[in-house]
Amino acid sequence: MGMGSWSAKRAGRTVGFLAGAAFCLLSMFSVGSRAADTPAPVRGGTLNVGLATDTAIIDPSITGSSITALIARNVVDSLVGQAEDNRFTPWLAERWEVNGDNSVYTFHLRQGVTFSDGTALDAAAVKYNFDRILDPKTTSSYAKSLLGPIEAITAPDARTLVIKYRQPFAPLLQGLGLPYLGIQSPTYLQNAASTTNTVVGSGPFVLDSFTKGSGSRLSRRADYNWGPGYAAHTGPAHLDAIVFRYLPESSVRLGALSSGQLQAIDEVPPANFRAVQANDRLRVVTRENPGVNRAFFLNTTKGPFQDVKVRQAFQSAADIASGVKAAYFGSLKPADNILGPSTLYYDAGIAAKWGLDLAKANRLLDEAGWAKKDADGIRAKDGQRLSVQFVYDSAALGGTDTTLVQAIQFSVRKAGIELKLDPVDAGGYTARTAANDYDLASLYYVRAEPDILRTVFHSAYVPPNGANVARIKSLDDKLSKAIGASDAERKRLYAEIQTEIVEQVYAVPLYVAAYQLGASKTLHGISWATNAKPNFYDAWLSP
Amino acid sequence: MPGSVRKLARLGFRRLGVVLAVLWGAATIAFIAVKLIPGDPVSVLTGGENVVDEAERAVLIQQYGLDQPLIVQYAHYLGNALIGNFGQSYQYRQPVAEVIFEAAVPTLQLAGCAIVLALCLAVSSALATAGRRKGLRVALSGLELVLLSTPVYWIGIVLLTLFSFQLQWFPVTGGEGAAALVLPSVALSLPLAALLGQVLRDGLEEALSQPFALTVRARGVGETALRIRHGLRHAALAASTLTGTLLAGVLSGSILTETVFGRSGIGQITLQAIKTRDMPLVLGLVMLSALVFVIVNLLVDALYVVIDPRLRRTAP
Repeated sequence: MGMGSWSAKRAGRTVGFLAGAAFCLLSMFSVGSRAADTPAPVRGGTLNVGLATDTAIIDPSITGSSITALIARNVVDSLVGQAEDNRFTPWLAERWEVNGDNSVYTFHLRQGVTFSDGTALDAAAVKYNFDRILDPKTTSSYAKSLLGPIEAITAPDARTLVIKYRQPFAPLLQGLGLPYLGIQSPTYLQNAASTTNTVVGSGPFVLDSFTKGSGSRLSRRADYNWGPGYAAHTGPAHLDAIVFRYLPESSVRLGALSSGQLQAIDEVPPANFRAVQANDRLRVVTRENPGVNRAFFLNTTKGPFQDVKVRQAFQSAADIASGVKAAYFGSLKPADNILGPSTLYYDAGIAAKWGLDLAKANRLLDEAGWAKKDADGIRAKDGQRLSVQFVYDSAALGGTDTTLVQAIQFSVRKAGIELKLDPVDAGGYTARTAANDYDLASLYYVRAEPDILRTVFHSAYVPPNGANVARIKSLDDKLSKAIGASDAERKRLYAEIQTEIVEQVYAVPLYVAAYQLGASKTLHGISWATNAKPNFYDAWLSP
Repeated sequence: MPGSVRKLARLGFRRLGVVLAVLWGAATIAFIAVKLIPGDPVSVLTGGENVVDEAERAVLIQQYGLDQPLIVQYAHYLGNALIGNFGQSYQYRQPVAEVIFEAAVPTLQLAGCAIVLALCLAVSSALATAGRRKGLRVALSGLELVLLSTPVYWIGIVLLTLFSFQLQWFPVTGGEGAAALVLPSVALSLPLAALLGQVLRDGLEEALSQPFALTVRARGVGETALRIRHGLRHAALAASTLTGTLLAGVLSGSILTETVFGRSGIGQITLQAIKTRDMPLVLGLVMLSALVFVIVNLLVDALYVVIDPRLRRTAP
């Protein structure tokens, strides 16, 4: 976008912001009202979507790629569906029973479902899929982690599937609703030499081609009649075809969207957010990610951050709201908790427990013995400066997040804390975190199920074995107990866990990451999956 | 005659030895570099939002032979490289040779079109302006200087903005057909054409100032025939020394072009392989580019003999 768009952007600021907020609300709460204010769906047409990221593998069972999830969602169906409000709906399973301690799940499958290669989808097909994921030779890791500690999968008859667990496991239904556990044709799986470039499922679309570095082409399946319970319609999809084009350059994506060659793009650059909003043929739909918010994780095993008072001081000195506003031009919300608001068991009460308070930061640092300041205004104790290193993968973090970190660097300096930015490459990042050579690291995880906290805060996942970069062990018991507990018990445990993370400052939440879909106003009927990815089954294009 | 055959065979063997030595050197340097750079192959292998416990790590490390001593890994790698097997790509979970082969087709199309286009542009600009049409010559060589100093990346975006987004002649959603090749090839060819054009024009001007040009003119041969049949041959000799530079330009340019236009190909694969530390693929790509350079240099040496008859005379 050139300089010419500046005046338009300024004028449209307030309107754009309100419109943005309205779209957030719309996309979060209403399926019904959307149907009311738009005309009846039109059948046909090709939806062209521009994607900022490519995926190496299109088989959702063997990759954790979110782009694979986005594309494969249209090709594979899941046993259960999860609606935008996190409730579970029937899909391939008409109904299911879970025993009292969440250790035996019985699914009753819908009849008459076929894969696009003609194979019937029965209990044996589902069992084949899950057995394949559990087989170490398949080298599945994300899909496998979603299945949990399975003892046995049995198919007593063609329409019944029973999954038995070694220990109680509550997050199964949420995992089953994700495309990573979508069901593929066993005939295809048995005969394919490699599944990295193809996927055959029972979904509303069929994958015609997938080319690495270029994109994918999907066409409608005419006899599809088993959509998820949360969908707005039944029967085949409205669109004839979906084309996903990989266009990593954001100006190219925006240009193609503005010129009408694409009807939707992802990752609208924050700086162009308002320009897109101001264009009367376009809009931006923001869907906040559930899961672990973008946050700083403080290394509790090394350096000044071993002292909880220093961590609390850092938390109180960081002016996150201003930083997020400056870096993201108001297009994203600052986080008030380690979990995003759309995550199950998100505790709204956490927000009141922390916030910007420079006086408190100064008092805590004085108490912790970092009372003296040197000539630069940085505090010191026993001849050591209060300096902390933020180690990050410069290719992964991106320019906008770096701006945010620099804003926080400026604000914590007022309390006498020196935050040093230490950019490394991907290999350097894994090497540094594995060697415990960092004070802060940053990441976020997308998942509606709070069990995702276990990936980030359980001691089994201290690097190099995972993402517990805060390196804490104190939450192990609660996190493990919450895996299989009853609803009420889980809610209580996760509230305690969220409280401890913020009060003990294992992490400083920064912002609620979001999927930002730039779309033509001719595109209607987008709904959202619980991994904050758009669903295209109900989508249609007005002529 | 048997003497010259023996001589030719000896020459051939020497050349083959040099080729093998270059490839071995490239393989070894790449291997050492890959092992020196920090990074964890397992995190690449599992990629994305993943959870890997200790047991799974151990399995993967063993499966990819990463637990063996370096010298064993090196011997294993060299042995396999000899038969063209570079192992499995970490991120694509496919044999490296297969990944490269898939990507090579669109890149060859792009590079081929760009080189042909660059040659046509450069030759016509040199023929038209060497030693004449001062105004046009100054304008063209100025344009060449600008194109040479402009990143391919930016040229690509300007072309897209103009011909795709404004005029809608070449939509980015146009698929993989011939129309989809036009803008990327033009973007990639322009800087190459600029470089070639400058060298060809200089070479042509020098050739035309030599006594033989006067002789040819004196025979009554027309200016165009003189330039094409006599002058261009001299200019080509100067331009052919640039082959290495041009090839490097095509390779690096294809990374940028493919990124801007979202085309699959060797450039994209290389970028991804380096970004994600996909070591087997990086090694395969290094070997491929070494091989391409060696072959092209051999061809250029042969081309010298074709262009310049003086080189065909054997020394007494």
